[in-house]
Amino acid sequence: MKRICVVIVLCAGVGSCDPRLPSGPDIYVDFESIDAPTAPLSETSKSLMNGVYEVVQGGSEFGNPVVGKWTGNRWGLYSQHDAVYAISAGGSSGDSIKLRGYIRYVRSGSGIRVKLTISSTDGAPEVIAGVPPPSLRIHGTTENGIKIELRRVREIASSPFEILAHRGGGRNSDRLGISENSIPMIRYAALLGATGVEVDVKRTRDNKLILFHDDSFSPRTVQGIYLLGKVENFDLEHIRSLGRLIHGEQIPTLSEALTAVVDETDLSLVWLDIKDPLAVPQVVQIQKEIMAYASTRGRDSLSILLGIPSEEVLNAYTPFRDSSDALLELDVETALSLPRCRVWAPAWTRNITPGDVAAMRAANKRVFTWTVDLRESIVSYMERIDGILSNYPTLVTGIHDSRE
Amino acid sequence: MKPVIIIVLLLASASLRAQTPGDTTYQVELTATASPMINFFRLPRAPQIPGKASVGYGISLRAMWHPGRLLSVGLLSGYYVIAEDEISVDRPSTSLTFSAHLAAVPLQLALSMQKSGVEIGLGVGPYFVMSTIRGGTSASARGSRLEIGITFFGSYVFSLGESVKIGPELRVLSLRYRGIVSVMPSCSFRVDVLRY
Repeated sequence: MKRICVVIVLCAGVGSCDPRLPSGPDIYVDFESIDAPTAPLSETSKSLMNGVYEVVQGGSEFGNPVVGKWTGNRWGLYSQHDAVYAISAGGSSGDSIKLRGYIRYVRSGSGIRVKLTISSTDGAPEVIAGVPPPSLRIHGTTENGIKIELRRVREIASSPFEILAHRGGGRNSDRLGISENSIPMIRYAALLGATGVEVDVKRTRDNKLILFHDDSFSPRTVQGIYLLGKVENFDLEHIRSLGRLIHGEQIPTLSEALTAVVDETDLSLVWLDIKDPLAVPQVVQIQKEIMAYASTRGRDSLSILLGIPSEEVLNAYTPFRDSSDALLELDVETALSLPRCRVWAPAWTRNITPGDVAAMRAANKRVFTWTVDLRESIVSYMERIDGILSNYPTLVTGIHDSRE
Repeated sequence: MKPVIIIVLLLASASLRAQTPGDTTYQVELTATASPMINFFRLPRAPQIPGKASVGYGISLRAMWHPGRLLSVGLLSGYYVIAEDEISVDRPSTSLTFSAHLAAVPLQLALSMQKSGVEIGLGVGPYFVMSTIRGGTSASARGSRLEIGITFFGSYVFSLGESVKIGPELRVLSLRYRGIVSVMPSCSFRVDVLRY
């Protein structure tokens, strides 16, 4: 009898363990059909809507306050309380402004649809006309009946700060239906509030460079049963012909991804995370080509930084130290010694002293850290350094842009 | 993994009552099977292949220590060809054709219960999964990976002689992480190699 009881208890314990995360996205919003019945807002109108909003109703969803800002033709709301954000589309409809979209809770992967309206008595006519309204309020309702009311209280904080999305978009890859290290995710990064992205570079057997994080292909990251095991066992044509990223996107080459950054985004920085020292010469070459291309496209402010995470990569980079912009994860002395090291980016576990930051800034270099996801840590680092790599760029945006 | 743990625990608990203290005969049996495989995939095998099923084949070897009780323990291995495909990929100026091959070798601990010729059991442990890609403009590429899988088997055998048995067997293998489930109807050939 005792043995049976032990078995039952063990089974109950096993039965209570369910490590699966909720998968998404299970909401689909046809933004194009939302755009169609409304008239697009002018850039002046959009800038009038950008700001920090007091959450009069709906604090259970967003906390208080939230940041609202346009990115292209999408309106984003960014919580500074947790990794919650909303993306919506729309424009003017008569003398009101109508927006439709979704709220996404990044940590859980769930989402709900939301409708937002600026009525004719809440500042919409002035915004549409491009003049500052006396007051601006947004009312809305989620699909499960939660009321939202936002009141614009001030401008967005304008201090420069680099918000970098991890693996192109952070933890959204598991919960948004867009794969990490993919071109669609890079396009989406700005909607997450990111000013730049960090992407991972891997070398194939035939010495081509692709964006991919893991050393091996697995069902977590790719579709295609014939791609298994180490990335370096396959040529680029095998990878591109017989596999796709987990959500169906083509696995991009480094050149394709950087070209997309230039042509299809306003991102200001790309951090190339390179673990393989043998990839460095080719990365430098591609970096040079893309920067030249960016210049022809008027994107001179774009920074593409070769990431140096180890001594091995540093040694491979040394011949190019005078020609290739870099980001160093090692010690501050090495960062100061490299003429083209633009950023020192140690891990958050390292103690970044005010003296280190001052020394870097005196040398016209910036200081980032990674990978920071906790609200308290983000707030702390934001006061001291110049940028954060996070899995939750929406949270970093909400915190940074809402500062007084 | 959770169902596997529960099954193993139940088998273990059943074995506590599966003793015939008077029976001190021990034997080692080797079972060999060869069979077609019908394989089902959670996701397409390749971007150009919309279907989620394939036909393969395999051989299986099982060595079971049968301690004269209901419960046997042993080792399970074999070689399964899960999928073979000829894949054409169109490029702007040409078309490439690849031959792709996926196979798996189980390296598993097997547990089974048997009575009156009926055996039901499962193998738990890794599969060594291997892929080979030939064709295109590149040299052939090979990849491999160890992945946890489960093999369920059920058979009925009848004696052909003192130490030889034969009968039908159905095997189901699950590579859950890779999203593959395979069904293998087969004929099994069993030999007592050691009795003491």
